[in-house]
Amino acid sequence: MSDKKDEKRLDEIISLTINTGKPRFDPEKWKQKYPEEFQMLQSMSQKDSRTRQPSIWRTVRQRPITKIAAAAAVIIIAIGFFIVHQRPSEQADTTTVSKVTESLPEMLTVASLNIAYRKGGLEAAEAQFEKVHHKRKTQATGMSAQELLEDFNG
Amino acid sequence: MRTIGNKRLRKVIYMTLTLLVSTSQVFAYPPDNAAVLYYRACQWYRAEPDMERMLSDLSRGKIELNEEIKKLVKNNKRAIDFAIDASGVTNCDWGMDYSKGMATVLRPLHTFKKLATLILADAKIMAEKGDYKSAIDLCLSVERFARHVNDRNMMNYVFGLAINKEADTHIQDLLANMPEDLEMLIWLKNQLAQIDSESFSFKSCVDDANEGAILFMMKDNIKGLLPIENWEVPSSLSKIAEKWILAADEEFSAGNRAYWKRLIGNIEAALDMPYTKAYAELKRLCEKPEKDIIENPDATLTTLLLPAFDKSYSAGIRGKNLPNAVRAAIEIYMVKAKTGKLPDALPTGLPTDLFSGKPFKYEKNADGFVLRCRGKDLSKDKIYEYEFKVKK
Repeated sequence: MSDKKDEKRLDEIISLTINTGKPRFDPEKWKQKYPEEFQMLQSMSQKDSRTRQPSIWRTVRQRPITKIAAAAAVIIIAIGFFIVHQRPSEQADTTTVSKVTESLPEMLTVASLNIAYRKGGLEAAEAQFEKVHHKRKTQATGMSAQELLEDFNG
Repeated sequence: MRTIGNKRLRKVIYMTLTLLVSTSQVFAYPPDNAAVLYYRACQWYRAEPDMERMLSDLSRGKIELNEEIKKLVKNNKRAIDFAIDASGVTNCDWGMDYSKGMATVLRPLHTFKKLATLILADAKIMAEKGDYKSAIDLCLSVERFARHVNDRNMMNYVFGLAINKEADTHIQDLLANMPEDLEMLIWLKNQLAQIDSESFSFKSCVDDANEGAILFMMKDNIKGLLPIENWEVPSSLSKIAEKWILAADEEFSAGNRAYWKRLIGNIEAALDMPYTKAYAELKRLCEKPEKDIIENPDATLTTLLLPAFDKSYSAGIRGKNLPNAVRAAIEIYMVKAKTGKLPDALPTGLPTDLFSGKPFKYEKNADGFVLRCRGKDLSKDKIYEYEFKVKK
């Protein structure tokens, strides 16, 4: 029993003598203690942020030819992006099949016109074209050339 | 010194590039793609429905040329010019996305046909003025136009043939009215031989349909074929077809594709037969899926998607037979121009009657001569004869 008491007492003495907790850095104390070093470190960090400015950007700004090249690259990327997003149906829609005769362009699909031809020959196919043309005219009072091409150009 | 040299060099390069770009734009007409000009012709084409009916009547010989038609032709001169310029361009890419198979949206084929009728009305105007060379030239432009229209699939084929046939009807008419001119006949014969080097192929229509339908038969696309009413199948079959489609799985898709491929293979084989046998076989094959579907779900999609190959095949033979008769007739007119009289018998080696595979039956009459078919158009149950008048 007395041995246990002695052991506990010894632990207390050791812990008071040496710090057994995790070491902690106190920046404020360090600033006060080492003001010169702090100044030097601060100036270094500011300089470093300036020198780390993107060298490629500097190159672009400094040389006129690279300015033009960069502008061209931006335009090409923009056009590419535009094309990709303008033609999604043509590029990716090859695996989907729509119903045959629901909308006006669908009345002009190969499948729909094949049906018309099967039913009434060339005259029936022509009549189907006429029907779409007439509906388009009534839907839009003045059909522009652009619309005509959009409708018929697949 | 080097900088100055570089600047000069740069200037020279810039100027050369500018010149190259600007000159290519100045001399870019006609473009290297006839389709661009045909589409422009469609943009400029303007005709009210009653005038279109009048044009059609003129083309069929129901009415004579009149002032209203002349005015219409004049007002559409720009459209006609674009189409004629286009016909002279070899390359014609319509910009169609055929990867969509049978869901591909077609071009304004009916407008092309009307445009052709309009150009042929212009040919009539030229003939009325006595300018037969220009009139024939316009007809030849329409024949080239017809070959541009004929592109891959069956609808393009039948519209192309219809346009071509209309042009040949006009040439038939011009031959009857123009003064005897051997030189012009030889020129016409050579021009037509050149145009005929690009033929109308029915086999390419079958190939196109083959590829186009397979897309619809892929498992994920099959239900997109509904509602079944869209397909105009007989009502007795529509319920069965709908039932099979609603239950479609991978096995159904594979079975339908195999059925389709077998049938297309048989259709292609039939095309090598003479007309009478080929037509009978095509008719049998086109009717087969409707009979099979009751017992065999693999026939379902073929029942819906099979184009009327029997009908279009016959239309093709009909569409090519008049041109054959016209080409044969030109040889007879040439004999007349050389000897002063029509031959007593048909010269040998002339284009044949495609319904029989034999030479046309040649008969002289008071007005000129007739080329009669020896075989019947089985789809119309009709024997054709083509009459060629000779100017007295």
